[in-house]
Amino acid sequence: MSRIRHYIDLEKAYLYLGVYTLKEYPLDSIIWIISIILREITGFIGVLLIARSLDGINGWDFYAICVLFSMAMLTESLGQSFVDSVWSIGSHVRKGKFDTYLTRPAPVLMQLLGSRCNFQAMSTFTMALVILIYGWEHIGIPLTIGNILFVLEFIICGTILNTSIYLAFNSLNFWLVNSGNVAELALTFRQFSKYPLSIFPKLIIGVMTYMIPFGFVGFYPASYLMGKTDWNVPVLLPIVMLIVASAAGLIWRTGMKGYNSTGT
Amino acid sequence: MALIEVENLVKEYKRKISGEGIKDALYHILHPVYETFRAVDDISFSIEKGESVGYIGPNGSGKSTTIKMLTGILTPTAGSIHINGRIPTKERIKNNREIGVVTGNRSTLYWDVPIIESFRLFQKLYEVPDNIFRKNLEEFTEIMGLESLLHVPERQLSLGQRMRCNIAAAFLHNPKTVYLDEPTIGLDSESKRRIRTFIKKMNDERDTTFIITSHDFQDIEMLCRRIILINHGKVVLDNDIEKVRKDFDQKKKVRFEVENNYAMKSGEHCLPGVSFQYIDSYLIEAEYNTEEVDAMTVVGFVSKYCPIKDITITGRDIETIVQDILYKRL
Repeated sequence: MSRIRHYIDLEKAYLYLGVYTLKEYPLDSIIWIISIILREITGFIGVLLIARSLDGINGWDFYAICVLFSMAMLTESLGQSFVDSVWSIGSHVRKGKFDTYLTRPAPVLMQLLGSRCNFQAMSTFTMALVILIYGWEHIGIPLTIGNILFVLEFIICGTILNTSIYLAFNSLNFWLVNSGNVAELALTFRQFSKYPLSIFPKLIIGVMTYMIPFGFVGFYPASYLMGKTDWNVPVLLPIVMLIVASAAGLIWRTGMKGYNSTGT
Repeated sequence: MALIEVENLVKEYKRKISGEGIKDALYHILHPVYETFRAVDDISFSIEKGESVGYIGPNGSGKSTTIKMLTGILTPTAGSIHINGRIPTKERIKNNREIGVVTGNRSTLYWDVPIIESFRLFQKLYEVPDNIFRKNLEEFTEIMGLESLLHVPERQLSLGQRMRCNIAAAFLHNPKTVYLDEPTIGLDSESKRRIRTFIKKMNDERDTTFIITSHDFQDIEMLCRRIILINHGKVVLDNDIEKVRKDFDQKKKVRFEVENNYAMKSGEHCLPGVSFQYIDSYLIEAEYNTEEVDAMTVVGFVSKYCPIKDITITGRDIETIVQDILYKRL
């Protein structure tokens, strides 16, 4: 129990350093915020244009796409804010940076995740919330306690699931020390999660559901909210999350075991 | 049981052999060939609490690899390591609470935030009680002159300032053992002096055990009572530094400045255990064996023939002794 309290304390200390870094470079932070908001908006507009020209994608109208897109954005921006350093596994391996973490009395993954926070991404999180509420209102999704709890469940489980997929892909860098970033592949797959999955061929739906389940960080939860699926998403989501997180943890641990430092 | 027990330690690396030219390179993609390279080859030693050990050897002799195994970063291929009875890779977190690590070419502090914020994070990380943290911080600040550095972000510090902060950080949690891998690399003499004074004090007053690797023999001579010399992954020498000096430093050199060395040179005078060399017309160099003659005899002998203007006596320092052992000039 005191272990857990210690880790919570430690996490708070890492977050504090994150805030401190943020205010060290105020101009950087502002440019960061503007650029990620622009990035998300352009992506959003792209999907909306396609939806409009096709008069809705496969039964998904403008507002339904707002809900889908914003849900995918919620998990992504939360991950960027708190655990974005999964993306630096590759550079840590190449530069032998895990050496330092390995000589300290805390789990290496925790130290890695604590090493960088991008709280600027909370701006896109807020933006996503606004878009979600906008779509929600227009569609008229009932504002029940159940639905609100489901959104909360989704934000937590979806972020963990999303991060776990990134962790799994980035951990491949342990074996491919000198290759380019294989993990970028995960981002390519994630592009699919911005569109209603049902428009894609069966193969892609299969991959996005059973292999790299990005379907659960947007499409399935959004479908559930709008009554477009028979699946029991509130039950499935944590199960998928647990499976993927365990698998990612296993890949991470195996990679860490084989970690060989550098020559210095 | 000693604090650090190392038995028959071996570390092998697998290296991929890549051929030359495109044709070979393509062939090796399909048929990878590996060679094994033994960085550490059957090393054993034990270190007691409070010892200060210089772990020395040429570049690539396996120093850093050994340190990395002792600190639990690398898993040994064979052999065993026990630190305070624990295997570092098995009980990593427990072991890490009691050690400090400083690597000369790598900083453990946070680049963007003031040094004191990094220190506070380490306080949380190592669960250092407030009173101990404050007391240590105060003491370290004074010895190493950190006062003006604590509130500056690391990125604005010079290499020497950064290293002083890193060393202070490694001692904040009162570690039992501290590993220093080339702590003074690339530093100016003032920074080196402060760092040495600090380490010496920690060793004397707190009985902190430390192992230090360095290519700067002043570090070793000032800080260590014992040296372990390794080459090609094997222990070449493991002994008390004074003992090494006595054992290997039997030859000393006296250099005489005289009006004219002709009187001695032409007479071909000799003294058992001494070899004379004549440089130009006004210098005489005498190399003598300390077991056979003493300096006074040599001086007396020379003064019989030539009036002496000046004398310098040089013994070999530990650096030359080590060079001689490594390259078999003894």
